[in-house]
Amino acid sequence: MEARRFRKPSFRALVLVAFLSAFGVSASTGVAYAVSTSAYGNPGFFTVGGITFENVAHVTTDASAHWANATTVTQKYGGTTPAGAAGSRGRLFIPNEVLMCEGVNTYGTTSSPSAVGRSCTKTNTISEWYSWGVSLGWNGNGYNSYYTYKSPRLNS
Amino acid sequence: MKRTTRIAAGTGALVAAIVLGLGAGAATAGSFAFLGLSSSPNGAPHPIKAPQYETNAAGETYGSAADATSPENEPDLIRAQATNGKTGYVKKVDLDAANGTTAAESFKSPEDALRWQETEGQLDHTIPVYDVDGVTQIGEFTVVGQKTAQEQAEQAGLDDSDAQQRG
Repeated sequence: MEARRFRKPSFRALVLVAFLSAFGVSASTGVAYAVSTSAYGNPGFFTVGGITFENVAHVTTDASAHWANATTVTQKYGGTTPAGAAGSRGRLFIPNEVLMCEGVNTYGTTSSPSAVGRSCTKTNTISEWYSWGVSLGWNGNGYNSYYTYKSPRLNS
Repeated sequence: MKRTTRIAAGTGALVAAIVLGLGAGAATAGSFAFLGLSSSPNGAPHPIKAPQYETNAAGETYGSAADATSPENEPDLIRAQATNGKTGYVKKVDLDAANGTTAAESFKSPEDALRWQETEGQLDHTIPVYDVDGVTQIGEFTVVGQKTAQEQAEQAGLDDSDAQQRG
């Protein structure tokens, strides 16, 4: 899975992200800019195996094509994540707490250190969606599992 | 002390306070993390109440994974929607086997995880969706492998940078 490392944000980007985060919702960029909307949950932190990790749940929906996708990102808090140290699993829910979609555990690699775990991309015209992921951290003998914070809910 | 010197000293102290404060905040956030729930960004721990699930005739707990406080205390039967649109329950043991959690329990090193995701982690896994009795099958639930997840994301115009822009 092709995952790019977190980019060093410019100050203007930080200001923009801070502004958008205050509302919990941001517009995504790229091909789907005009129709898709995405939102992040609060970042969470956990320490395992002597490494502090940061995780976040991300949901993207498209109100015209009526699909939703959940992503979980886990990475070392500051610095490069060692390969395999972090894992993520994307999970997509609807408000009555029904699990709609789930992906497999995805681990960061040498070339893509941040672990980006995706759920499936689900089509449904009647719902609002949220992302609530699972992160994994290597403890020296195995993996510990942690939840992310839930993302805000978005309509599709 | 000259005025410019006082201003410089004051500015230095302010910067040092901000840096120390941010560092302490980050350290606190990490140190308050506990199994099953990430700590909040400001380091305030949350109380954990054990989830109370209902039980079916076979003694299996059932409910939503969203009620769990950690992946370890999710119910035996997890509420999920089948590919046919019906809502029922997947067994946690089936889900864990499909999403790689069971496999992860046998990993001796992170390299084992990386090898797993190059093979088994690429594949989709379909598991049964049951009625609340945990016996009557009403549909199927697919845990998508990385290959399918990536293909679907690309079709939707998403790539991994969409999820990482927050950083």
